Amino acid sequence: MGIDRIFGINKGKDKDNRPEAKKKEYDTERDYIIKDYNVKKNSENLDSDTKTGYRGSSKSVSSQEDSSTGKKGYEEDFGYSYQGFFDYGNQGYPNDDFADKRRYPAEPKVIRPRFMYKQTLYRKLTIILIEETTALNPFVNIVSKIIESSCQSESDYYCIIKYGDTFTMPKLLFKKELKQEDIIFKGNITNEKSCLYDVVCNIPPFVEEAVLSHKEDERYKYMISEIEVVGIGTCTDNASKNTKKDAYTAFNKLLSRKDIKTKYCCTSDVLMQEPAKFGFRNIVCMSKEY
Amino acid sequence: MKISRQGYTHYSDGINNQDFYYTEGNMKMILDGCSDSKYSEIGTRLFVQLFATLPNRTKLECFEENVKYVFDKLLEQFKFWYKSQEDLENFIMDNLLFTIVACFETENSFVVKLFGDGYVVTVNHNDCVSYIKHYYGRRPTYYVYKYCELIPNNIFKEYEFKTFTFSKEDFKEIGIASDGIAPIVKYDSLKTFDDIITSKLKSDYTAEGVILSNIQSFGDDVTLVINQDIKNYEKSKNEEET
Repeated sequence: MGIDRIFGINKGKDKDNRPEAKKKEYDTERDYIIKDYNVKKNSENLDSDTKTGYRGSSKSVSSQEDSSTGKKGYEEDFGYSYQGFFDYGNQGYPNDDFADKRRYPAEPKVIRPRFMYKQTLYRKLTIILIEETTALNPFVNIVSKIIESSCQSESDYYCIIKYGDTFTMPKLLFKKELKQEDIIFKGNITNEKSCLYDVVCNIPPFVEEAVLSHKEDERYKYMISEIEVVGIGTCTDNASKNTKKDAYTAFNKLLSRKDIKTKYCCTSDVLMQEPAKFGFRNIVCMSKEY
Repeated sequence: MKISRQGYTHYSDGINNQDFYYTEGNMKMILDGCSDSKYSEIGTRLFVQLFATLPNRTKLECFEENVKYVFDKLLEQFKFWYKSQEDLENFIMDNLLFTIVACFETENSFVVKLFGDGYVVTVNHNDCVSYIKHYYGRRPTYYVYKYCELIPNNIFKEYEFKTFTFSKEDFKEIGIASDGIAPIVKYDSLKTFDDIITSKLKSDYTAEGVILSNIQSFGDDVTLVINQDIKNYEKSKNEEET
């Protein structure tokens, strides 16, 4: 809005739209030339914007061109315009942005492959040793509960080793990969021999391999940060090829790791010193009979 | 190492430390007072004072007889004050409920005698510490139940001391503890306790310091008696000096 409107200056004056009259309205001829140059340039930009897709020119053009009259900003109805003074932010001085954009057009977006660091997730490895001998038959429910409580987290690794007179080392599995046969202890075992020492001798290389091999998927890398060994049975041996000494040294090698927890659930309190000889830290008894 | 500390819940409830220990020569004994009885700390301290007067107190063969003798004499005295059996048994329940764990060192072995529940702490020759938990249900077997006739179907009369023998070939040291040390077994942060037991840690770290700094984890009274390996302790001291 012009000051003339507010204070009533030039009220009742005839509108003079002639180019000569316009010239008079500006202080100097230079100002007029600059204005005219800007208007032309902006209109050109509008055209070029439609072609190139540049943003930013539409606002300035709309302020210059009245939609109702179709006249340009400096040709307003009231006698003369102060647009050069009040609104020069839009069109007062030459704006080089448009020119720069024309000179240096934006590069087309190219998606380049980037090197992604995979987040490392730490997992716990639980090794459960179940002695499948007749001594465990009375403790079917308790053994199943111990296995269940040890296999709670779905994101951790599990390795359930069931041994009698023979055994096979299973693979590392997630909880969802475990079979029902692994988790549930059915009992009704007729075997009386156990090869605990052979099993214990096989655990340290198995753990080393598991710790050193990092499993990966598209987003994450998995590392084993904690190991828990849970033993269930009598902790006695009568069918091993390895000696007692070998088993003790192998288990000590395992215990030298700082991130390890060990627990043994014995069938009777008389046998509870057997896992203590190995070095199991937490030793409990499944039977509560005095 | 001999520790007996009040548990945090006992501190907050205004109950005294109900555990007590006694060591003499090759013998060490722990009495764990029942938390539910009012004055079981009186029973533990009274028993130890009378037991310590017996002539054959450090002999393994005489241990069970000695315990029986002390209880017999104690209850004879109390019968003078409590004429009826009901009153006497109420007194017993308030004062004399405690478990007994004792360990005797012989030439070739350590012999643990246990009546009730408790822990046996073992150190094998590879310096691995094991905590053997002896637990026989929520209601522990207290020795004094043998004198209670008003308990229906009193099965405790038939119970005797349990004996566990640990060979010196397999174990370097055997300690005994009350069930209050359960948090040491449970929490990883207290795993340093193992190094204190085996004297791997320097002398700055004391077992009491570890318990006090984690006192809120220990609900029940903590009592542990174990002979530390002097050679290891001297080694750590020499390392400190160098």
